[in-house]
Amino acid sequence: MALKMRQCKSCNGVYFPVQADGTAYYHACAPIGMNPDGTPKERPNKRDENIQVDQFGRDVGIIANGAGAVDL
Amino acid sequence: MADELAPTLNRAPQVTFRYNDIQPPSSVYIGRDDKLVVVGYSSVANNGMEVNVRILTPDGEIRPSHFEFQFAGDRANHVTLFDLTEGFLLSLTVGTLAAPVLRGQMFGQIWLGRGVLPNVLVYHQLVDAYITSNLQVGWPPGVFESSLSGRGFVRHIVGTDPAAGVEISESCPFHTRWRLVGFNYTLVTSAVAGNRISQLFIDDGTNTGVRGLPAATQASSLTNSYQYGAFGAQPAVMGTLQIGILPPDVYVDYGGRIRTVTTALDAGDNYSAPVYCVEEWLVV
Repeated sequence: MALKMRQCKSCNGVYFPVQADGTAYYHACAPIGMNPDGTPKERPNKRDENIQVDQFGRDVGIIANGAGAVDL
Repeated sequence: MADELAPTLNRAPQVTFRYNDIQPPSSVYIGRDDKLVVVGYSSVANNGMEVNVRILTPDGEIRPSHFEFQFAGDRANHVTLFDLTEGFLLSLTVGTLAAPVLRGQMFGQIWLGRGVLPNVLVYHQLVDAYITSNLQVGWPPGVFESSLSGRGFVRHIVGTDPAAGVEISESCPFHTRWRLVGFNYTLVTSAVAGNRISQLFIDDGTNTGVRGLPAATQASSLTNSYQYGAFGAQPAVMGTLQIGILPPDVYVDYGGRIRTVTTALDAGDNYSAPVYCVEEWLVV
């Protein structure tokens, strides 16, 4: 089965949301530089597909939708 | 040798066994309110665990049962309860619903408890272990391990192909620990003059604890391949291949990132999708 690609509308990065081994891939936009204190400067409207959980450890959705993503 | 064994084979046993009123060979009695608590963590989509149990009922019948629990491969914890028959627990085995599932991809916890989700009190631990499709675990004797012990799941990941002028950044997923084995990518530089230095940073989301340096700078209008790993010594650039050196056993936990930080990166420079190899554990 051919793997489908997805494009992040925040950073325009392209990725496979499901890898060849059947494992999910969680895209998160790259930093766009450094802050004066040396920490990473994050992209405004950053998309982060890593999951958040509630107090019982249950999946309640992704961390940040950003500008969304589109299947290619 | 046969002469020495023959008398042993012919001797009468010194131990006899009862045929009536035999006590159950189990220390675990399941009451009418006890439930089987099944907790699963998985990175594999469309899969789950199957649990088989045998219970010796009070009237002497051995009753087998089969339970299936399908859950998402999102690495979060998933819990379900199954009702059990009253009696002595004789045996329990745990496997996966579908193959292949390798060590490091699915962790199961099988307990006895009481209550209603999400408020369940656990009284007896039966299995805490990685569940695979080719090796069943069970009770007795029970298998108890940390999800961070032993070897993990070795996998190759194709990361995000960034747009031009954007750095590579790969994040370690929820409930996950990685040991970075190798990180491989290509950088195509634009015609804009300047020497790029494509470094590899490993951070915890904020602070950078590990920093790898390439063998050399990369000038404009070139395509270089980069391979970062624990190579020990840094060779000179070989053609267009740059070997970057990392410490051995670089670990990345959830929230951490593996990312390039490029000196003099131009808006027209273009990174490829990274391909990297990690050993992966679920963090339970």
